[in-house]
Amino acid sequence: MRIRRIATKEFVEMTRDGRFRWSCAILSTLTVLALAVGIKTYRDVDRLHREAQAEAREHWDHQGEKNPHAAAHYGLYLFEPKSSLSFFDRGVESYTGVTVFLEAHKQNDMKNRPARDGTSLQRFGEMTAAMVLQTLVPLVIVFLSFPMIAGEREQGTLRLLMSQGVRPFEIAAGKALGTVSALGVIILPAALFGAVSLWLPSNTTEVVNPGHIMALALCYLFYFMTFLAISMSVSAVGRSSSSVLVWLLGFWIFNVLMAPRISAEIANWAIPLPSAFEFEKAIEQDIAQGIDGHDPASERLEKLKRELLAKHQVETVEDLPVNFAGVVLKESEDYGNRVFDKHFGELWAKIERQDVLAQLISFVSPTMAVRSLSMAICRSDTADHLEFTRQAEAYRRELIGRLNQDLIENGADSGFNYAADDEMWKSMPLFRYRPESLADVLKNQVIAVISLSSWLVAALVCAIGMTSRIRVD
Amino acid sequence: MLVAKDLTKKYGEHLALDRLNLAVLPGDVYCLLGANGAGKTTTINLFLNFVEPTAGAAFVDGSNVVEHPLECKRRIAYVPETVLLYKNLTGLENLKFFAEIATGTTFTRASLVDYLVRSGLPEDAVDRRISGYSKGMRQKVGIAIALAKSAKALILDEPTSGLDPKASNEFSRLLLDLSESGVAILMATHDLFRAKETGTRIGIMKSGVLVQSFATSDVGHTELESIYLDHMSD
Amino acid sequence: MSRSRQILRVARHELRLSIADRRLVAGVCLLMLVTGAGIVSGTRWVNHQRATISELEKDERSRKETIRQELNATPGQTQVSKAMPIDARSPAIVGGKLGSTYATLQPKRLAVLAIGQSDLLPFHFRVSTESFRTLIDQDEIANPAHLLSGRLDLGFAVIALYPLIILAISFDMPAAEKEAGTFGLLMSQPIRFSDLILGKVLSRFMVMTCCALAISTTVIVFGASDRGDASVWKDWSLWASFLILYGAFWFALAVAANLIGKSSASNALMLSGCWLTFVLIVPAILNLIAVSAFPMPSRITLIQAARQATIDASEEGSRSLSAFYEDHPELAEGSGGDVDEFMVRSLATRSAIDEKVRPLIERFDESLEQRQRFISRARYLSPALLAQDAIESIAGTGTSRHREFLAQTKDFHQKWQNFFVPRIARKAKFETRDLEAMPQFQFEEDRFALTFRHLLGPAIGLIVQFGIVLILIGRSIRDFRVVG
Repeated sequence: MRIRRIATKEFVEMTRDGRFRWSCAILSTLTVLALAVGIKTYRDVDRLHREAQAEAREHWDHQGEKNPHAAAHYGLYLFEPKSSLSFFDRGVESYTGVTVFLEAHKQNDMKNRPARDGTSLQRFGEMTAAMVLQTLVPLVIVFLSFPMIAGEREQGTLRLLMSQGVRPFEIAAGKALGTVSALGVIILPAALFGAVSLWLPSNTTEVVNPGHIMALALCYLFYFMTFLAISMSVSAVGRSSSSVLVWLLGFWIFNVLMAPRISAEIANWAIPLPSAFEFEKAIEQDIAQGIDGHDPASERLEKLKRELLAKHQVETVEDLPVNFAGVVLKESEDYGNRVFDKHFGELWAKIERQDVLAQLISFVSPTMAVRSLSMAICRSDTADHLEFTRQAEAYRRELIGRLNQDLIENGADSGFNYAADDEMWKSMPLFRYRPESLADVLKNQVIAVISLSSWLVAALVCAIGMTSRIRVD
Repeated sequence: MLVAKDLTKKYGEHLALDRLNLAVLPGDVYCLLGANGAGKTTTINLFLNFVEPTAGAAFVDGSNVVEHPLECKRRIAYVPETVLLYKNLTGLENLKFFAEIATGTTFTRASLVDYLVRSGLPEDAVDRRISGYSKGMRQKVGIAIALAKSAKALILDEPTSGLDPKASNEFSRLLLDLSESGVAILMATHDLFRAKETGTRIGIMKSGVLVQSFATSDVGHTELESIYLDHMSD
Repeated sequence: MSRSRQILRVARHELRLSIADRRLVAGVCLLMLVTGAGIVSGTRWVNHQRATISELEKDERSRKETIRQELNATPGQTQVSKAMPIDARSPAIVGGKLGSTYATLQPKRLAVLAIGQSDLLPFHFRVSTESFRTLIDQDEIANPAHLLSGRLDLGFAVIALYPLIILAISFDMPAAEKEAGTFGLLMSQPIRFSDLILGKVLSRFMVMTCCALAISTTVIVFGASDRGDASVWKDWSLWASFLILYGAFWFALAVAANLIGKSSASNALMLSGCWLTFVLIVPAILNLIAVSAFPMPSRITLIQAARQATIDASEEGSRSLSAFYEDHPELAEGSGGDVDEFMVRSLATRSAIDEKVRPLIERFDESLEQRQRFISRARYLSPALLAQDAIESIAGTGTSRHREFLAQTKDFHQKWQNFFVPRIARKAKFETRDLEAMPQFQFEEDRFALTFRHLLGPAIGLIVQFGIVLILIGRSIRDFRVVG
């Protein structure tokens, strides 16, 4: 009962404050702006990718008559679909390639990072709803709650309250409740806008999964609660309200500015990535010399020839019941794939280890935890991109494999002049990206989940502990 | 020395000081009595050019305070109600800083110690940090600053509040010494006893108006108190 | 009693107080720590770039050597070395992957200052007879999360943290006096309030400037190449001046906030709001505007157009038949076609496609230009953006130098085409003298005068912003009331 009264007084006091009104206005405007632009961009890009993908498949289906291997070189472009929640948190999408060219003998990188056509301004941070929630809302929480205890102490009203027999915990709980309600006022317009726009009909590839939204909401809730609890704890023990503010601002700066960059530096130092040149050279070397260096391609070719001739007991290549060229192509394709798996596998493993490192660092920074989780749930993080890359590669192998198989089986007599037609191309499977389920995503993010939860628990314990022992003076 | 001519100050609608006329001559110890909000602090602020008068003027040694602020500040020494000073510096270092800012000249250690001792500070305390000083000691540093400044006028705001009787007594004697050397002293206070003891003139303020003013020698202690209470009860 | 001596007295006193307060010391230590980390990070990145470039040069030299050996071998015979038979006499092959050269952008002398955009924008391109648009489509390997967060380099420390430290040590100047109770005593002395503030700011400014100079010198000593070269010191002086100018702006802002005369807590709020606005919000919003108001045709459209053009240019539809034959020379034997003939045809196809997509690329470049022009005007809205521009110019890691690099690469690519296309078309044989005459890329660095001129914009911008705050201060000082 008392708690509710204190909460009400806190809420009224806060909402009358000019500072609150300003932060409310600014924050709501920014969030709505970010959401609006995000949604529009998402719809536009999604449509573009879908149309491009359809057109690419059109081109493929109507290649006309040609040798299957020529078709394998003609290749197919894949365009990475945008995740349905990317309007909220764009994650690393600007910094990863959006298209990949599937062709024989090569595992290509994803190209066309949107950021390369961007401006130097975007390195300061992109205005997305997630950015506002991760960086600005905690700041507003700090601004609103730093005088919670320390300010009352300075004003002398704390002494007055406690002399009424109000327990310190009740004061803290009431104030926290009041602050939370005030924050709700700030976030409400943006949340409404987001909800309304999601419900509107849209012709996008994916539909928003309510499970994802709930997971997101929970993450951010934990995050805000953590910041509030920390603010309360510091306010309870701080000497003066301005020293409380300085400490909390320092914490915010560390979280928002420094932790991600420190994490990048540590990751770069501990797990360095090869340069593109080194990487390609290593692959070329392994294909030419053999993975272990002692199995050069020419020898492999010879060996294959001998084995095949022996198997079918013929003297010359032309007498084989299968298309020798096709067999050679298949073999080199398979060997290449082994090499690619080794090198790309190493590279991706390194990147994944770097991301695990980032999750570990979140134990000193709740912002890192929520960043990692938010990106993962919105499926705009590196892991999702790598998943797409893997599935694209698997599809490439299937595609090329089928083409080669066709050449091997049906091209025995015609040799290189064998040609297939549009029926063949159309019979190739369609690529469908299957993103990881929420459960899998959370499994990958388990460290961040634990970190965020621990932060919340620790902050709450701290808050309760500190506020039970408030000094009156 | 310190002259107020029809000095008036209005904060918006509120009339804090209404046509104050006052003169403190060299050697005078003028005690301004009155309740909180009576206008004592406003008067002091006006003499120090902390605020500007709405009407009338304040003069220090003939110069208008608003037109020649720095000149006037050179001649006045001010000891606020709470003398807090820089707690990480010693008494001596505090005095050095203020004295040098006040006069623009450098002081030797010996002369500074002399001022502090003359103000009643024990010599072994001059090199201790302010954080270890009592209120009385800090006030003595404030007086030392006034001495170092060779100020012609001294303005004090509630100087004896929070002092124990012994410190209060020492303070009185210091004031008397100063007034004997020709310093004009204006003191805002609640302390009727001290006002009678040290003051030469008394002025009673109520709601921004100087309602009565007389020489201390004209009244006795009890009389003073009844006059004061009479005014306060109106 | 001279005013300047009064001010100096206050400054000296303030210094002593600040050291005792420990906040100044803490701020300086923090700055030095982050600076050190930044220099280390910048140095590592520059070394990585240099190492990569020398690797590329080594590779190029060894390939050239192989070609030379091939050319000097018995004419008419191609050597089957390992599994990759090479025909060094075919200009198409030499102009392609075999003899390709690298256009590289060496890090500038003071590149350790800021990683800038150099982690995102490639610093080397492989130039061959491939079309220009495929050529520039190369990227370095990087963890996208690191590109997103940015690195902890000196540029970041200066643009974002340096102002914070300045604000942290100056947000409560007179407020601290007020709260300490010495304010009344101080203001009753014959010193102008503006002189008091000036003295306080002066001591902090001096300390910060010394730090800034120390940082700058450390950068030179530990990070720069060609330390003896005079132009390094010219760059150093530009850098140091910018640092001091940038710091001056933030100090002025702190003074203005202090003069508004409220409590130190509200000063802190106001100043952190300013910092947030200038360093985070304004850039993000400007970026939003730049992207929304100046939309670019998507790169995907370009890809689709190129594909369509490929189909239209009735080639067999393979991406490049010559590349196909590069990959499978053993399969070419039975085809009955002249390899050179194919090279010519594929060349023709490629140029036909390039012609078709040229208008699209021009539209692309035009939109990019428009965006850049908007940005270069909009950056005057925030000192942080101006500082970013200046630092990246001095370090040579900004977008403008990279655009210059792209332009020079494009020109070089044209030179390369002009060298090889006639030879391919003529079906001439590649000879040793051709090898020696092959074009080499050399990036023409801006002369110092140009850099200076480029920095003039940000410098003037900062001075104007500084001036605006000074006017604000002037007005606030007049209205400042000690009490009430």
